[in-house]
Amino acid sequence: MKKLPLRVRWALFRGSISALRAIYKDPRFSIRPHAPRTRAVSELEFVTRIMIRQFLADMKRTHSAIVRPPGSAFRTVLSFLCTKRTMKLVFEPVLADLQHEHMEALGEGRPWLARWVRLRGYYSLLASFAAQMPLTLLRWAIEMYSSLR
Amino acid sequence: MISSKEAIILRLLTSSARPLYGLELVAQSDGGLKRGTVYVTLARMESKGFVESSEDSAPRVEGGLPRRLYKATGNGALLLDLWLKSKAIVAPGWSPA
Repeated sequence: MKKLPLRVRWALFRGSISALRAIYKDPRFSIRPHAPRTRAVSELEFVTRIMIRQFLADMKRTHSAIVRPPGSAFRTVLSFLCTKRTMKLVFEPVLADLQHEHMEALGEGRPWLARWVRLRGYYSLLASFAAQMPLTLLRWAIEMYSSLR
Repeated sequence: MISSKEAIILRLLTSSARPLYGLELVAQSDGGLKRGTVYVTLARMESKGFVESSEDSAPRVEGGLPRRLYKATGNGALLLDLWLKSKAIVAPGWSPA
């Protein structure tokens, strides 16, 4: 077996993908040693390109194809933690306001405002949860105490 | 006894000709109410019987939730009136924001 260059050995020692890339780039260990050299694209560059492309697409987009209304995931989690009454009277109105404001912003063709509305709505949701938390904990404590008696 | 936030909500609801939803109350309170806590306060007031709520019949967001509209009950309006009168005796010149 040929002795590997120090650069390749160091890459192998690190045990990362860069080792494979170093081997692939080395013409002595290349799968196609006589093939013309093409510019290799690193994984980081590949992922960065995709992220930049996605970000630019988001910037250009004036309307969003909404699969689920904003806050749906929060609603699922909160419905597990809180009673139906609390959901109906506290959290669902906050989510309804968030969804209405979000849709209004998107309808006006202002995606950045829609993002801001979404962020503000999540903060309102967390603030509501923090305000409601003592009552929820008290209810849990009473239920646990009554079940133990 | 009612809190100052409850008094603000009752004042806004009794002075309005139509039921209001939470964000309208926040907007009309001039900083007296916060977005994050208005619905918690409204839920407590509803359990006490000061306000009553119903779902908005307006067309909802696609796949979204209907807004909840609030209006003061007779007990809530009476309580606000009594509270304002008692405040006028104890602290003349004071009014909810």
